[in-house]
Amino acid sequence: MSPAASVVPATAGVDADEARDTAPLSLGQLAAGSRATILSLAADRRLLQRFDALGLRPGQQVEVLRRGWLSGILHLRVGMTELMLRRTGALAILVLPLAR
Amino acid sequence: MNAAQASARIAFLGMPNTGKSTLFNALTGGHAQIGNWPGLTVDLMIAGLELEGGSLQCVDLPGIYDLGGLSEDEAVVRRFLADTPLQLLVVVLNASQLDRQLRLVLQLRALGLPLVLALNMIDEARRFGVTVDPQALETALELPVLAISAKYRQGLGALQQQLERALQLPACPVRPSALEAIRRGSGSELNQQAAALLQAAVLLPQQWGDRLTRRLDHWLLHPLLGLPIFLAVMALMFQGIYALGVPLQGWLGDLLGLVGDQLLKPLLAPLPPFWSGLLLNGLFDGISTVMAFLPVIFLFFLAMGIVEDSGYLSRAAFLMDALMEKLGLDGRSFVLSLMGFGCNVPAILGTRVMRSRGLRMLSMLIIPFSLCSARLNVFLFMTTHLFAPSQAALVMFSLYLISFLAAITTAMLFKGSFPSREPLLLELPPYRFPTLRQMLKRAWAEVRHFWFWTRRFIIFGVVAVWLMNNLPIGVAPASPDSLSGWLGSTLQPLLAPIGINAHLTVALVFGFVAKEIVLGGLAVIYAQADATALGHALRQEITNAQAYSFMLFTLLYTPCLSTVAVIRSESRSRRFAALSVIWSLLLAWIVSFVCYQGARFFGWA
Repeated sequence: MSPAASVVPATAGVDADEARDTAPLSLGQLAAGSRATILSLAADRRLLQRFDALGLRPGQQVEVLRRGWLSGILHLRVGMTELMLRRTGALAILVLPLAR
Repeated sequence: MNAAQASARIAFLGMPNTGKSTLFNALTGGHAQIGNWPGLTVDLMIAGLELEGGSLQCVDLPGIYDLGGLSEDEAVVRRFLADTPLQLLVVVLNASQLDRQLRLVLQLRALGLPLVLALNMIDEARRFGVTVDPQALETALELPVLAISAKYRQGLGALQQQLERALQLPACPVRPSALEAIRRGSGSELNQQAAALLQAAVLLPQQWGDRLTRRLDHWLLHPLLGLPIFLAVMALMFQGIYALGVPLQGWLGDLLGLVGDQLLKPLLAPLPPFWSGLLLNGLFDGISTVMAFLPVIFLFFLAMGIVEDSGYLSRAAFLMDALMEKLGLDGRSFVLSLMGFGCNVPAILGTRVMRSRGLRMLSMLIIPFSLCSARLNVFLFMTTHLFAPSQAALVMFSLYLISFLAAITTAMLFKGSFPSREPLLLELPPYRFPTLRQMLKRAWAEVRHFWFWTRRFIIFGVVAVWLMNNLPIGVAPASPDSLSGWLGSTLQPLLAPIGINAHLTVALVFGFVAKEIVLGGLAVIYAQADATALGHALRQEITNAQAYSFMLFTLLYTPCLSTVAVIRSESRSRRFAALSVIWSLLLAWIVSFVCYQGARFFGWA
């Protein structure tokens, strides 16, 4: 499959009050304990489908529960599901951090 | 497994981690066979189910996330549905994760097949504060919806009634156009429909309700303590398996030995020595070799069941990921390689938890380098009888070190050839208590699976090696005149540079069958039954450098015939099994050559 990336735009609106004072970041840059709303995902179709099936899609809230050592694998919570995601995968997800 | 005998056929489908296989086993009573389906590249579990009014053939399909997805399992399921008319499709969902699982139901509804929805783990959903209204789902989807718990066998009666009704239905094929439409379908539309369904039938909690998982993760995934705890758990488990498994294996061996000596030997006595030897030391010992693995496989899968079903295996993957990512592997491969230090065979069978073929093949390639307990026996004998006590510990330590290094080198070299196409995006399920019944069933199923798929290969191999040691008829076993003796001297140009003489080469031929019989083989070759006398005879003939080179070679070349047999049956590829054997032989030769010639160069020989 071609590595051509596609970007899914955010469909759900982000609460303007919560988003104030924060700028979009990649999920891979989020610190442990923070929460954010997913804006968009950039990946090949295979990965996008898997993201979508596990609940990682625009408009969803994610929480970074913890990060592993060295490579910083992420322990995430999305809806009723907890997952781990390598940092390289997390860099493909653009999020808007939520004020704590 | 004859499909024509059953009057109806149903399949079980669901996402990974929905307890689908648990439900399958609970309904079919654990009599499932692992079978290959025509045209598919993966094994499916198939079981017959006798119901009032006829018999059903039940097929457990691999867990998938998306019917239109691009993974191997997703393609397998599409292929199966396209080729196999079904009376009913049982869709298994995790009741606490309906927020993301309903979209799969919507996809499946478009197939036009009769469906039943099983909301599994309903007990867990209640514990987490998720309220589901099955009636509302039933009305909205116009499908039968049942809340069940396969693990605690709740709601299975109602599900069985649905299966009985399926017997009356005609087999329904899936139109290729329906599958094609799903493959091209829009994800966001599905998500919107699923969100509306969720709103109508499910009440999610404000706060995630599983405090047990929170608290356990705090310690088990602790940045500093997580790894030491993990290693301690592994060591404990390992000790447990072998504290029980080694004596069990011993008793089984004694029992089989008794049967051979007391029953078969007198029975076969009237035959010419060659034929009685072939039947007793070839065929019967071959069967004994297969059986010797059964207790360890059983115990291993009990332990594996606890680690996997409790949710700890995916935590291990999280903890070890930093290291394993660089090797093209993940933490689950690490757990299995550690298990391989007990016995490689169940560790390779255990790679089935990995759904990515590349990841699985790479793991199968490195596990044989784990220094298993059978090799440990050979090394303990040689280090104690050939090396000074002060050197012995160091030699043992270096062998363990080389075992690790060989695995790492292999992973680095081959990770490009076996890339994992699945992203590392694993679920971390909540912690659960596995039930004893579940674990015993699974361990038993694995034992049967091993027996079924490998016995012919192993028995054939043991008989072949016996023939090599005893042909032409009339030679002293494993003597220079036998076929293996001839092989030993013929291979000298290749093996003399690594310090392995003709006698030791014959021992390596024995070792190809199983490392358990290397010492027995040496005893035959040197005609010394007593351990001390054998050690003395070896010391007379070989230098320490030669002994060390022999141990290195023994460590790295094929662990045993049973390992080759499971690599072949699990990879379903003879070429891959051949690659594993050839690569380990090559690596063994190179390492032994460097060490032996190095030792000679520095004058240590």
